[in-house]
Amino acid sequence: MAFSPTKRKRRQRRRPREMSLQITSMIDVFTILLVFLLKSYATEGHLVHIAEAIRLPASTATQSIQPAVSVAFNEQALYVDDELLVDDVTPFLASDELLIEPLYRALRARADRTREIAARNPSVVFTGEVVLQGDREIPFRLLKKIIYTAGQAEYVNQSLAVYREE
Amino acid sequence: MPGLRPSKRRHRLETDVELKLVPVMSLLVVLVPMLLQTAVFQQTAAISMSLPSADEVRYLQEPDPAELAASLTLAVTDQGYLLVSGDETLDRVPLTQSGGFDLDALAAALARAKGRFPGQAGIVLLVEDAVRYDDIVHTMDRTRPLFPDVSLADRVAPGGEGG
Repeated sequence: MAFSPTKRKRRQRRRPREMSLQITSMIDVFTILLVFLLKSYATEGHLVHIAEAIRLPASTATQSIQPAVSVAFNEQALYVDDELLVDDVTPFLASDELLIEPLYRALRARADRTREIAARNPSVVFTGEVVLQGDREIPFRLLKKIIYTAGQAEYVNQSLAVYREE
Repeated sequence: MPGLRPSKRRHRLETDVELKLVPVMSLLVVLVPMLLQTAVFQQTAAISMSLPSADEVRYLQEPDPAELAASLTLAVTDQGYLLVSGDETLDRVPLTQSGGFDLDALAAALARAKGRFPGQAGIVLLVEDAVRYDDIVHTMDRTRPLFPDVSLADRVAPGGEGG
C-alpha cells in the first residue's frame, strides 16, 4: 500500500543530478595494466642500446651487460657505438685476413683516447671491455674476425650480448 | 496517518555513495604511460669471455701434453658435434633429421664426459667458419652448466685465438 507522492513533491525531489562518468571499469583496466607494468619494471633500463637491425640470439645466460664500447654487427654492416663503420662486410668476410682494418682503427682510437683520459683522471681506467652485439644469423667466421680484431686493439674483456631467455 | 509516513526510498538513495574515482584515474593516467616508457620487454644478458692480452702470448706456446690429454674439446661442425679429449673421441652427436644441431643429445654426451672428468671445468669449442652464431650461443648454453669455462677457438687453426 505504497503512497505515490504527489506531482508537486515529485518535482521538488528532482534536484539537478550530478554528472558522473562510469569509470569503474576503466579503473579496472588501468589497475591491471599498472600491476603488469610494475612487474616488468626494471630499474636498470637499457644500459646498452641494441641496434634495431640486430636480432641477438637468445641465451640462458644471466650475467648483466656492463656499459662498455659496443661493436654491433649483422650480415651487412658493422657499427661501433651505434655509428656505422662498415656498410658491407662481405669483402672482410671473404678475405683470409683475420684483422678488420677499419674496426681495428676505430677501436684503437677509442683505446688511445680512454688511456689519455686515464692519464689525467685517476677515476677513469682502461679496462678493455667491449660488448659484441652480433646478429644471430652471422657465421662464426665473422665473429672470429671481430674477436681477433678487438683483441688486437687491446679490448680483451669481451662479452657477447644476448637476449635473456625466460 | 499512513499518508504522512516518509518514504523509505529516500534513505536508500542516501546510502548509495559513489567513490570519487576521478583523482585515482588521473593518477593512473600519469603512471601508466610513465611505466610503459621505462618498461623493458626484452631483457639482455651477457656471456663474458676474456682473451689473453696482446703482450701475454701464452697461446703461442706449445701446450703441456698432460694438460692436453685431460682437456675437453667440442668441435662444432656442419656434420654435428664431436666431443674429443686429447686424441680420443668421446662422443659424436650428428645433426637432427631437420638439419639442426641436436642440443639434447649434446647435453647427454656432455653429462657422460662430466662423469669421466668430474673435476674438469674448462671446455674448448672448436667452431667451423660457417656455423651460425645462434647455434654457437645455444651450444655454449648447454655446455655452461657442466663446464663453466667455455672458450672459443677456431677449428682450422686450433689455438689460433681463444675466447
